[in-house]
Amino acid sequence: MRNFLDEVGIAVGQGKRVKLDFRKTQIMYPAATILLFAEVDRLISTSSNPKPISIVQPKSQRVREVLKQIGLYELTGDKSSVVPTRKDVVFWRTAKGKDQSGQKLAVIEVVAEAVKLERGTTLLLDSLWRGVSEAVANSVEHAHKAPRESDGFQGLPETTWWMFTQVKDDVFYVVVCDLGCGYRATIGQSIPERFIAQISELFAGQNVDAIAIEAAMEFGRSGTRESHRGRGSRDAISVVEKHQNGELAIFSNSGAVQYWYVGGIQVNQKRIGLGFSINGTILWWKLPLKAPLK
Amino acid sequence: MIAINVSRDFTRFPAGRFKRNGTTSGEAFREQFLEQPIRDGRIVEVILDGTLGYGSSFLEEAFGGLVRKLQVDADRILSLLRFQSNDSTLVEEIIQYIKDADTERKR
Repeated sequence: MRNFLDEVGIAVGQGKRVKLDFRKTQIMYPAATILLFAEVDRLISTSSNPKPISIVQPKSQRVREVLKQIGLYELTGDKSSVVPTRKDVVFWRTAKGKDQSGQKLAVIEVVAEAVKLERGTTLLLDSLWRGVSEAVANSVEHAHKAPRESDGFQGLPETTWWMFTQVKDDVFYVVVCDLGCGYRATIGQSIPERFIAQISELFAGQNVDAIAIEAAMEFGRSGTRESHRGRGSRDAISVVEKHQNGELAIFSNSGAVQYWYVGGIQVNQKRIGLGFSINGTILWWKLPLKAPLK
Repeated sequence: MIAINVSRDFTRFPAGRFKRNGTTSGEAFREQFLEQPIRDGRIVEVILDGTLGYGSSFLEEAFGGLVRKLQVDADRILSLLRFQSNDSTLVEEIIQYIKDADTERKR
C-alpha cells in the first residue's frame, strides 16, 4: 500500500492524471482504506490540477458500494449511481475534520444506535467516545507539530484527521487516521524524557516507532503522576478493556503495537516493525459484537 | 449554588483539551462555567450525565486546569465542587486530576 501511495503521490506531483483502478479489488479493510482515503484527500487538496485522481469502477458490487458509502467518488469528483444497501456496507461511515470539536464525531452515536436496532447489541458509547475523541484530540494537538519526515507535509488547511466506522461479520471497527509526523517526533512534549529513556532501554534494538508508541501507552497506563499530559493513550486501551473483548492496534510511521483483550484482561501484546512507513498514525479498534466462544 | 449540566449547557460531545483545537474542549468548558464561580467562592454542581462520554484530556484540563489557572489548592477547589453522575469512577477520576494538578503545582 505504501509503495502504491508513493507512486500515486509522485505522479500527481508531476502533474499527471492518475486513475485508481479498482476493477480487481474484492475486499476493503478499514485501516488500509482510511490511509488510501486520507492520502487521496491530501493529494487532491494540494494539487493544482482540478481533477488529478479518478476512479476506475470496481467490478465488485460490494466494493462499489463501499467507495460510494465512504465518499471516495465525491472526493475524486467521479459519478456513481450506486446506492449502498448491503448490510456489510451501510455501517461504513466517514468523518473528517480540522479540529477536535465533538460534533463531527457524532457519527459514532448514529452507528451505535443503528447497531443496537439492527443487532440488539449495545456498544459502550461512553468508552468508545473516550477512546475515539482522545485519538482525534491527539491528532489535532500533535500530528503537525513537526513536518512529516518523508516529504515535509505539514497538514491541510481543512483536515487533520479522518475516521471510519464499519460493521462486518458481527464485528465493529473504528479507525482514526492522521498524516502527521508520528509518535516518535512528539512524545517528548508530553512524556518525561526519563520515562521514554527507560522504555527505549527496555526494548533496545526494536523498531523505534513501535517503541515510541509503547512509551506513550505505558506512560498513560502507569498512573505515574509526573505530568498532567500524556494520559490520552490510556483512553485508547480503555475502549477494549471496557468492551471486555477486542483488539487495539496503533500504527505510527514504521511501527505498530497491538493489544488483545478477552474478558477485560489483556491476553497478548505485540510490537511490530512494518518494514515501511505509513507516513502517519492510525488507531484501529476491533470490537466483537458477540462474546467469543469459550 | 450553581448547577451546570454539561450536556445541556455546554455540549453532548465534549472532546479534547485546548480551546485552540476546538470549541467543545476542557479549557473552553472551564473558562466558560467554572473559573469565575470558583474564584468567587461559590459552590458549583456539575451534572456529568447525558454526554456521549469524556476523554481524559477534557477532564484533566477542565478540572485539573482549575488548580493551574486559579493557583488555588485542591482542597479549596474540591470544597466548592459537587458532582452528579451515574458513573462514580468518573467523579473519582476528576478528583484525582485535581489532586494531581495540585501535587504538580507544588513540586
